[in-house]
Amino acid sequence: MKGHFMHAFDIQLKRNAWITLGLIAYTVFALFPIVWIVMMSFKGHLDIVSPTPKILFKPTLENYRAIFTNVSNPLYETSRADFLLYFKNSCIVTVSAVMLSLLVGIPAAYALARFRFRGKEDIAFTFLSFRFAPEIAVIIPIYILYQKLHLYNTHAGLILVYQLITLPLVVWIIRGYFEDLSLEIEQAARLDGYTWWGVFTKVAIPLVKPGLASTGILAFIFAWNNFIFGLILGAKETFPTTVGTLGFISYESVLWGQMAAATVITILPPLLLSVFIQRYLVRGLTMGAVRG
Amino acid sequence: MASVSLLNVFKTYSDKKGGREAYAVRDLSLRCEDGEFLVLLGPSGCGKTSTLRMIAGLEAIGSGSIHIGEQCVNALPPKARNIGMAFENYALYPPLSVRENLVFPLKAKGFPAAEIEKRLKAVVDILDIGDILDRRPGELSGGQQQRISLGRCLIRDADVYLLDEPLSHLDSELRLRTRGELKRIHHLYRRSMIYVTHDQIEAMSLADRIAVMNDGTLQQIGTPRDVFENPANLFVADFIGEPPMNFLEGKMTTDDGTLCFMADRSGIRIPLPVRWKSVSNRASANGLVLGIRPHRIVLGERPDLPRFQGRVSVYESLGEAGILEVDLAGIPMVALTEPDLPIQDGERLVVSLDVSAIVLFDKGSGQSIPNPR
Amino acid sequence: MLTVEIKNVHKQYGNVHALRGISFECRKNEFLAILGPSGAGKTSILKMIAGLESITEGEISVDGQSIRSVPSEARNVAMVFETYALYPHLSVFENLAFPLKSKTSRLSREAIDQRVRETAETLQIGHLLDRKPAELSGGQKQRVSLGRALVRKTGLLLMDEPISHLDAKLRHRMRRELKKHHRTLDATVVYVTHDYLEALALADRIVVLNQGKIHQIGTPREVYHDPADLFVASLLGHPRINLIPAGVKKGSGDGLRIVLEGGSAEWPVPGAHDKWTDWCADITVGIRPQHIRLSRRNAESGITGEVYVVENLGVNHLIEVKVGTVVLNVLSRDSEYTIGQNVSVQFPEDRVMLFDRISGKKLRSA
Repeated sequence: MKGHFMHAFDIQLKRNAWITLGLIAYTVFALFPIVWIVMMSFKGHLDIVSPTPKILFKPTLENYRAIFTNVSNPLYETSRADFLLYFKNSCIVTVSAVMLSLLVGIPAAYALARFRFRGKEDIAFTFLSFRFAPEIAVIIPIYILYQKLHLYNTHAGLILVYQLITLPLVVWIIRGYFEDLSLEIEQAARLDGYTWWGVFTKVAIPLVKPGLASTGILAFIFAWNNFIFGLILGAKETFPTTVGTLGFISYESVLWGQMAAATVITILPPLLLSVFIQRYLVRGLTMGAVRG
Repeated sequence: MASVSLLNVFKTYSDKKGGREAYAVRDLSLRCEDGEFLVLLGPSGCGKTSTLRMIAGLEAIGSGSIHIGEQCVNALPPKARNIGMAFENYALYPPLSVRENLVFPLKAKGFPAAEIEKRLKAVVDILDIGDILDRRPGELSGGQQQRISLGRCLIRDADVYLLDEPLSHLDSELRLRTRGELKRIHHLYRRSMIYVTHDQIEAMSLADRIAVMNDGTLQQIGTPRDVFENPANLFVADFIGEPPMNFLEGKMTTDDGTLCFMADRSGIRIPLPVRWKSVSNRASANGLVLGIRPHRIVLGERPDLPRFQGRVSVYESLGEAGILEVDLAGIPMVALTEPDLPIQDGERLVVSLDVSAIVLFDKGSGQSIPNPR
Repeated sequence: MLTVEIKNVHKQYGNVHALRGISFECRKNEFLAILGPSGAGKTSILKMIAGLESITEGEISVDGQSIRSVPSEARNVAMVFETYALYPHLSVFENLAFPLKSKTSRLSREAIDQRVRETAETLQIGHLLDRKPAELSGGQKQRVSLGRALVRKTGLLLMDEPISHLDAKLRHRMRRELKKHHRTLDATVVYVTHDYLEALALADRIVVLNQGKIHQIGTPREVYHDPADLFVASLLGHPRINLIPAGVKKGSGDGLRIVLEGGSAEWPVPGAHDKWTDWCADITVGIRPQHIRLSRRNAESGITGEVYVVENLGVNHLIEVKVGTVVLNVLSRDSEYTIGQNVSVQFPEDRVMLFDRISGKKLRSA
């Protein structure tokens, strides 16, 4: 028995070592771009363009100061990137788009989950199909339409087109959460004297709260990261940061440092929210109230 | 055929929540005699399944020793222990036919074909499964699968057979029938069998002896009659028997020279047989629990039995029997009666207590006080 | 207190015909049990009365008025679900108060508070009011579920196998408590179960349902002692009633004799031939395990058998006796039997039931 156990233990240890090595390797590979960009954002121009990549350097806040105060070094650029404006645009458009999707999508998800009507699955699939079409394929017709409707270069226009990204997410994921709820709990609420609206607001929504939060955050991340819509359907006044950061590439030079700083600020919200999702994903809120 | 002995067996497991180590089995010593049908009985989590799996070798022992026959099997892997095992979930091999499932253990050991055929026929006859030999487990009902599982367990010529709640997934009628067959098989073949269950009726009906476990420790080991009539402590007394035993807390007093049990809450006095007098001198005489089984409470007056006035709380007429809950001066007592009696709620009636069959327990320790004869 | 009338109701789920033209009524303040195996359609009936499922065909009326067009939230009916269906995000107090806060209720805050506490006290869950359902045991959840149904004091209470998921000991205890509670309730109760003990103990009348059809409606005593057919006779009783295939032969004199298959025994028919209606030659003899008498002596006109198995059940013993090819279950307080022993088996005349083997119906005397 003793020999048997020792052997098993050895195998366990060896396997663990390989797995750990593999994980370390992958982590380095995945995080490297982010680490590099963060370092670059704190490097002075000379350190960035030096022929040998510099790991040790004297950090400086000059890049951040530049993008925040819009004062640029006249030696190095002729066009200006208005970073703060772009960041503001991203915030307005993304947050509004997500809010609109939640407002419209949650009742839609409930209807698809609970009610029976003709064409239900077709409608549901149509929502999903928005995500199938590559954005670049539909962008030209939308551009033409937007020009006609005077939605070009407006926040409202971007918020509307962002629904193609956020609405399918909300409807499909929240529908799943609603379907997972025990029907009997809602039936109990009906018998307790509540109409379907009362059941929806007082029972169904509270029970999918974790789902709402995590779906909202997921929608935020996808919308925030979008590039094409802002690029084609927006202009200097309405560019989100993803597009605006392009401004650091002029035909004369590339302002690496400022672009790095801008990139770091841009990826900060989705990065923080991704971390936040993990802790928030508490499933099984309904476990315990229903026998099974 | 062999006996199975456990001596001072301990087993711990790590409690993930608290990070502490908890005992699955604590200082367990018991013996299943050669050819005996021993049942390990207890609520879930009491350690009975861990014990069975340790005997089988599927789980390692913490400390102590397990012997099958004369041989200490602590270090032996399951396949070297010469045991047959039937699992709660049948654990049949889905791609094999019933016949192949049954002969699997024999083929694995390299038995000659003639011997295999002989044993197969014996098992098929006992369990009456001749007509489904060529089907697959997926095509069988729960009851049929359970028989195959039993058949595969019994086809081996093992020293001891271990059965882990094999009937728990059957409906009540099938469970009754299969229980009877199992008892008959044991009667005919007299093999050592160790059977785990949480159902006390199953234990009472099948066992030669029952080992009652709770919280990892052995509470009592004895024949069904022993554990039923003379439970060792409050746990065993309450666990075995449906409806459960009635308990009254109180103390012993002497009333005009008659030895009595005076109940705490209501003050009713139950005269006790004289032989209990020796107990009244003990220190515990002031903290006692009196236990009396529902079928020992009879309706109406009986000569030689003390009688009490009570009021009916509720009467259930259940076909084969009736259950009467009666309030005796504030204490609820449950009695087993005939069915179809014309008893109304709230009615006053007289019950007689068969005090020759009471059990007294020490309130502090929960242990029963031996019946002085 | 309300009356419920079910008239010729059918229920179909797609192609499955779950209920086939069932009719019965439940009187004011009555405790009506619907008893049947799982899948018999019992829960469908409750859900249709509650309005949670549509009625395919037929009429359901409460207090004389059809409820077809009345939405669930407007019906004066409360239900205890098999799965408890407690609101997981609310505390026990809020679960109990929820029905009282709907738009149809007119109670003030204080009245709600008082009603909740009263109900909790009756069910002995007053100390649990701050907990959430996930922190409760099975028995506690079941009481909260019951409390939520009682708190509105509706005239009609529907219960869907409320205690079936508790362990045996707790189930027996809750059954007794339910019986005690019913006395204080001022409501009509329709109770669904597959456990015949619950039906016998709790009901004023029992509706026996199988595969969408009603087999019998009667008091517990009627249904147990005078079952309408083989199904009802087998459903009630544990161990199940003994059913022995038999035939009929002319006996000496005017009477007829019942012959058990295998020719192992025969005895005179209770009563003369012309008293019996629905007579047929292929019959099934039914006798309950507790009614069979065993003795070690050989009686002349008795049946002999061999003891097959003896099981100690605590108070009673279950003795299986093999008579010819049939194994009989006998319940007896006497335990002194050994396997292989020969015994004489007696069926008391007044306890024997005769059934038509083909239709399953009980043969009745005119």
